[in-house]
Amino acid sequence: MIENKNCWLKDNCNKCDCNGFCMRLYKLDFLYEQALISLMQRRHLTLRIDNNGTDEEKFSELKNIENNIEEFVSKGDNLYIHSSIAGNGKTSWALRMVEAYFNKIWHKTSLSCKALFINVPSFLLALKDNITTKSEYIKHIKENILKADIVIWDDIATKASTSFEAENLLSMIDSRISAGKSNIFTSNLNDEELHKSLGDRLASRICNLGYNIELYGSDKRGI
Amino acid sequence: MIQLQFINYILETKDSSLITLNNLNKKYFSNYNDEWDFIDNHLKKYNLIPDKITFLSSFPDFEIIEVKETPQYLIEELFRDYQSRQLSTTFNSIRNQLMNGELEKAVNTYKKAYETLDTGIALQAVDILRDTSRYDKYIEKTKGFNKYYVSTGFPELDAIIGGWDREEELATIVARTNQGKSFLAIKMSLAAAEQGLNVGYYSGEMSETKVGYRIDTLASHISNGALIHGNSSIQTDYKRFIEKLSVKYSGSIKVLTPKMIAGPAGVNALRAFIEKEKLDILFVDQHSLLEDDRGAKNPVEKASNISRDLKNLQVMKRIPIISISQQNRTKTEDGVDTTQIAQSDRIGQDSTIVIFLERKDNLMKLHLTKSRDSENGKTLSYNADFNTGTFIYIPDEKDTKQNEELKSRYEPEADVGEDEF
Repeated sequence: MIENKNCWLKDNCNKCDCNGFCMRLYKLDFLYEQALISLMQRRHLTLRIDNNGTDEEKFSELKNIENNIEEFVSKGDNLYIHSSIAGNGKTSWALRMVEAYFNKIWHKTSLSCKALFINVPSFLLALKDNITTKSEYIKHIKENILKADIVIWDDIATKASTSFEAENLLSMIDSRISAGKSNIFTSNLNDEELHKSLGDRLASRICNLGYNIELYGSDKRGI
Repeated sequence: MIQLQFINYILETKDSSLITLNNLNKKYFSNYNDEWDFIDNHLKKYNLIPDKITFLSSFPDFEIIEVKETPQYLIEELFRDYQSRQLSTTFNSIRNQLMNGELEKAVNTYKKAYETLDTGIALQAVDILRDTSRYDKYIEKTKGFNKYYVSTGFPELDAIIGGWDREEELATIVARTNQGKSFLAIKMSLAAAEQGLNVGYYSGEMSETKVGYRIDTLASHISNGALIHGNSSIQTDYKRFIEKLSVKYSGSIKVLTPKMIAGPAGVNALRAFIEKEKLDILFVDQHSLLEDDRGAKNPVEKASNISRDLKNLQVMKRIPIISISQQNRTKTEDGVDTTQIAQSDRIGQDSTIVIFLERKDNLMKLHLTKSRDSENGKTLSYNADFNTGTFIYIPDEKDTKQNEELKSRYEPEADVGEDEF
């Protein structure tokens, strides 16, 4: 029996199987676990713009992508969400896209890795550590990077990359783009800064191969 | 000499399949009629070639020699030897007839001998184009699944393989350690008992009590941990269940453990188990815990001998045998195949069905890697709770109808958490 009060899905559910085996919760949990998305990040968040209407147009554009997420994924589209301001919805929107995708496919998909959430700074640190001590986290990402339908590259280029980091990222991102797989990038850098940080080859793929949306709204964390 | 070589070979290898599969009889052993009779009678009575000591006690002058030839060579030479003897008799008759001037009679003797010459490969084969008895079997199958097939306990697996073939099945379930192979086999044995069959379960490791607790869990969904550890909170439910257990199942499950036969079973012991208990289906848990009746020490040879003997046992007894095998350490990122069965490739080759079991947390996957009469390569996923004995099928991408039913069943009544823009 599922403890309904603790179920992260309870606000978006018809509660038909709370006293038995909930196939929806089971499959969604599996998909999120494979995607490396934590329990906190699975909860549905209400997204809001500033009172003065900043980003209204950008949010509508993102909402449109969310509403057509299966088409976005099947076409292998890419999305770059960036803003120099922290906490104005970049990662929330990226997670919302995966949430929308999972909600569309959960009932008809096999139990395999369909999405990945990669916090790029953490990933690069783990990648370096992996040279000396093999990491399950890196193994999981390497096994699924080309299988996952959609990958979130969160906080890409928070600092200037070393050639080791840039080459690894370029190789993975390039392989996914060549394979027609969708990517969502979030960053606090604008196009010019991204080029400086990641180099032209990688930055060009991120900025120019899909939707490029810059947000200007204020930090809404804690609101 | 070939007759002597052959008898020495079977005394050494104890391989009775050479005799049964090639329909050998007394006429092939003209120089060793008594020795042959002794071996043949022993085989018929005990299902076993006599060992050398037993044999030599009756034939102390018999010459024991070392035979290094292949079985195929020995069989072919034995047949050739027999043909030569046949022909020499005929030639003597023809020669005498010709010397007496009976030319026509000599020609007829030659023709008759040619027509009746026993090529030695006259097994009792069936002319498939003229024998249509299989149509009657087909008609019977259309009327009664239970007569020809045994449910595996997994309807989705039955839908693919049709269930265990009651006459021609040697299936192997393969997994790494601690994946739930025994639990799966016990669930399958319970399904067979539910169908009214007399089920045999050889447990090379677990006691009959633990096998029993697993059966109880599968049948009642009472916590297996609570049964094993004697948790008093389930006593009332357990008592109620156990009192009705024998009524609930029309079949039976006979468990055999090494303790009951003073040591690990070999295939000959399993044969005795089948005959004594008149089993309809046998589960063997597990391959690596069986003894090799031929006494091989090398693990690969041992596994290979056991596999061959299990195959022969299945062919002779014509009941389904489901055995469990270990999976080797080969990487499985690109999927599984029969080369990943530990110890011997022969196990996969001899099996009509090979199912790999993989379990991570509560997700259990059955990979059908070999199935003689159905589609290979399918994977079935289950939410498996071994503590309560529940297995819930997770439909895959191709189960369109079930997927749509899932969607409509769980569709939220309305979207919540509308965005604010």
